Amino acid sequence: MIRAIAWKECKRTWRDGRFRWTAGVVLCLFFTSLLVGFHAYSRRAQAIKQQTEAQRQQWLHKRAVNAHVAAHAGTTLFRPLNSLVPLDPGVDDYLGASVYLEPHRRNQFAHSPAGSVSLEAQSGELTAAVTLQTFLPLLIVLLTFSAFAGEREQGTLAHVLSVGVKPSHLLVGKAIGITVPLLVVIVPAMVAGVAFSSIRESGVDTARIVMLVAGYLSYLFILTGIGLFVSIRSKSSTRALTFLLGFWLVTSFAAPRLAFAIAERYAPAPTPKEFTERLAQAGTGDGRNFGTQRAEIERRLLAQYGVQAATDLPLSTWGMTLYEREVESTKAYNNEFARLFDCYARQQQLVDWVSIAFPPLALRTLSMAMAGTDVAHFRHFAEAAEEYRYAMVQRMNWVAVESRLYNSSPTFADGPDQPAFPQGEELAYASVEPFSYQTPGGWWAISGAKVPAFTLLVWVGGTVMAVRWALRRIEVQ
Amino acid sequence: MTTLRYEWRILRATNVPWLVAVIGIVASALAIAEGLIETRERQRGFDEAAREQQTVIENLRREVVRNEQSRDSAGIPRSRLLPGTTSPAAVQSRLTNFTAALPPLPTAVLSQGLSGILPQRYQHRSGERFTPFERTADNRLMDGLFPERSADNPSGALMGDFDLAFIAVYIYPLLILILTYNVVSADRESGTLALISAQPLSLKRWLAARLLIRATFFALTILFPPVMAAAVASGSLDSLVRLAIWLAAVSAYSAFWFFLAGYVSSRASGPAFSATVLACLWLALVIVVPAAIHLSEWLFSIDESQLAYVSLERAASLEINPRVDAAGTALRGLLRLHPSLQRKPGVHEDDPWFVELLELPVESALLTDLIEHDSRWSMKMSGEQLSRALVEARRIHYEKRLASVLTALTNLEKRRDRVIQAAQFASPALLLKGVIDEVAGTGIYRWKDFIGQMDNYIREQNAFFTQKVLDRQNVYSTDFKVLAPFVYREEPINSLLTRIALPFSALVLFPALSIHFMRARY
Repeated sequence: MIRAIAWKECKRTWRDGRFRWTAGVVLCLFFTSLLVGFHAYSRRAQAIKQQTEAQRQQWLHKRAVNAHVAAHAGTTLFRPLNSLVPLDPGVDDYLGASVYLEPHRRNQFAHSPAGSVSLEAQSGELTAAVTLQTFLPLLIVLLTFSAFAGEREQGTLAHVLSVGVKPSHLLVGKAIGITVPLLVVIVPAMVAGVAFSSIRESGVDTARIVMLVAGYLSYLFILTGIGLFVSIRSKSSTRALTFLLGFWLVTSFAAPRLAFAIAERYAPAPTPKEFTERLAQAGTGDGRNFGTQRAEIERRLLAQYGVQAATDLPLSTWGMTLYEREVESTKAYNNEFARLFDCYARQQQLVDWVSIAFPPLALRTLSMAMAGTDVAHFRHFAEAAEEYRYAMVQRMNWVAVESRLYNSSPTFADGPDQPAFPQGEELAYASVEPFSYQTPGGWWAISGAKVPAFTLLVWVGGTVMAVRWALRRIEVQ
Repeated sequence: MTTLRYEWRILRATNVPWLVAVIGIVASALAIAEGLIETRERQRGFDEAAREQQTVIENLRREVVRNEQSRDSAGIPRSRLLPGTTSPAAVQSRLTNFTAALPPLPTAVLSQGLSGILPQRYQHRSGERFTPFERTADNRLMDGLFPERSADNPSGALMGDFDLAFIAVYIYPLLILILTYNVVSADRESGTLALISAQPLSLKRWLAARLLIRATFFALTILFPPVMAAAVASGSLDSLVRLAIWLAAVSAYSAFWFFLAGYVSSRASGPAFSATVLACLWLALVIVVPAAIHLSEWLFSIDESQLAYVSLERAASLEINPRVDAAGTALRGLLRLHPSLQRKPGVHEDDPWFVELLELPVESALLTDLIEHDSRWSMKMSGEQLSRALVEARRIHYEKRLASVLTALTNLEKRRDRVIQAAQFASPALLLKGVIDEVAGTGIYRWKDFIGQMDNYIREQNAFFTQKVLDRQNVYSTDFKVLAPFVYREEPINSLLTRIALPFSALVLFPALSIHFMRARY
């Protein structure tokens, strides 16, 4: 019986012009956005690779009067793109594309693509993820709203039930009949999405892909369930459609903005001015000036090495002061950035809890986490970049320490006591390894998206229970 | 009038208008509250920046006046002593360490626009050696400018602001559709349309009355209250004009949705069908078309060009900074060899040592560029002039080095903007968003104007101090007529009107075309 109902529903859905049109448009949008996204991703990834190499060459072949000045010449790191970016770019466009690494300060990322976007194009994005998260639900609404309500209006529901068809069989048959044509849309989309993402990089994380597909399929299941529930409970198909359209619009468009507006009030991030001031404060360390600190270090080193004069020290007091000040300023900067990222995390936590009421929001969070395009992944990269900056600067400072530079001068302006680069300038630069970054694994991403994953799971269970409850109270008239 | 009265009775008998009104009022109130908080925060940032700069200038001026009034043991005014606290370099280093902020307009509450993405405050630090250059709107480079970058959560930026612009562009059409989607189709389905057709009342007038009563209800309960509140709060004539434009633009946009809903409802077989079609149209015009336009940005490869620019800027920096460093070292050596080039305490401007010039054998290539660029400079300079010349030479070298890549990038952006600006006419939502951002003063044009004015201010200040150095003069109290704090000059309202004339006309054209289409087909 279920098979017969499912087959009939499948045929009805397939013949329905609304389905064909809407499915065609959704697929068209999906593939267009995927192709464009993939093309843009490939081009940007190529540009990042080129510029990263250019930066490395600049670093290796520059000339500086001493190692600390060489560190000041610095280098720029370009944020690499995750291979799943074409599927879901997430916050990628709103993050700076590069960060300038230099001594004494940890800079913010700059040159975000969103900052260079023209005004007219600020109104929204068309991505593969947006197509699946926003447009596919509309298709499901159109398929489900009249499943029971329409039959009830036409009087066929009473007839079908009177010939002995169990409501549960009718429900399962209708659900299959709706889902199969939907899968015809979703499966090629998913396969294409994963295939595109794997073309450039072979090491796409399986756990991420599985979780991503599971998330979207759960969402499909939830929406189908909600559509059928509303259709069972509504007196007319018009009422069912109105409710479902309202649900779609509120949960997909209004709720995410409102949730973040509330989150930003719940855990306010510092204003640009406040954050700049905090960073400036971090840069000044404990307020001791360079000369005072250098004198303290000199006294300590003189005692440690048992010599009378700074010129007898095997180390540069100037370099040592730079080294120690970098330790202090880095700690202070890292504290400030940690506070900022913790603030984002608190905002996200609130949004995660709000998303329990709005499954599209949970899906969006899960999708970005699995694609590696959420703020948590950015924090992971930003911290890796900072570790690299610190290692680079301190390596150069240590070269300055070993050079015994300026030990004879309280003003460090008299010229070196030893060559500025005892082992040679090029070797000093080459001793700083090129930056390499490994995106965290899938389980790391999943552990950070537990609440949205759990939310979707709860909604799947809740939908099943709600539909079963509605079936027991089904009204034929 | 009778028809209108009956229609009002029918409408208010249902819960729908009250539900729409409550949703509209609550959403608008939340958005206004959000806008007020943001605007107040920005205003505070602007006030602090203006106050700080004013204080610095006032303190400097007092110091200069004090120096002018007091004399040393030889009877020479201290203001003419060298080196003094009022030398061009000393004054500039204090004066040009300031923060420039773009003030929010009172109408900023209408839309947060790009204020969350584009920096609204810039710190200028003179003498910063390792400053990455920021591009200006007209393709020039600015030295020493550090933007205060947003520290907001990028996830929030991705979702978008919950401001009045969002409510007007996204939510108002939905509320209108809820009010209007079944304006004819419900009667057709229930069979009452045939009954109405039998009455001595034309269907056109009947439909017009139905739409009019809904539009009036919508305007009175949802559209006017936020404007009235903003008008009372703002007060100035400029703000009232801006609010009037906002009201006219949103009214035209709302009218378009009323007519569209009326037309679709009159053609649909039932309310379910008209609701479906209208939801799809909303999706297409408000979401898909703007998103598709966004998608077309990839054609222009702006991101890749920007990445290349960052690398080239670094290369230029690596090339020029060691040369400036080397020149500085050579200069220090020269000053040791020729003490007469230095200023000494107790010497005043007219002392002959100060005007003694020397053919300086340092970094002639760097300085040649400067001399070619600015005829005021020659190869004969005092020590102070040489220091200044190196700073100027560094800037000119940067500009020259990056000119081609900047021109290419700017041309690319201009081409992109032309295409995108033409494409915006495909969606009334985009047109309205553009007009609202302009009216609220949170759009791209005002920001670019701010950057341009800031750039001009810094260049004027630089030119002033350079001239002082060339003239071998200190700064005097009379100079403070020129040394005013940076104040953003608001563009005249006429410029705004000229700029938004086209998108606004197109916005008005949408409902006009809808009426024409309806009259032809109904």
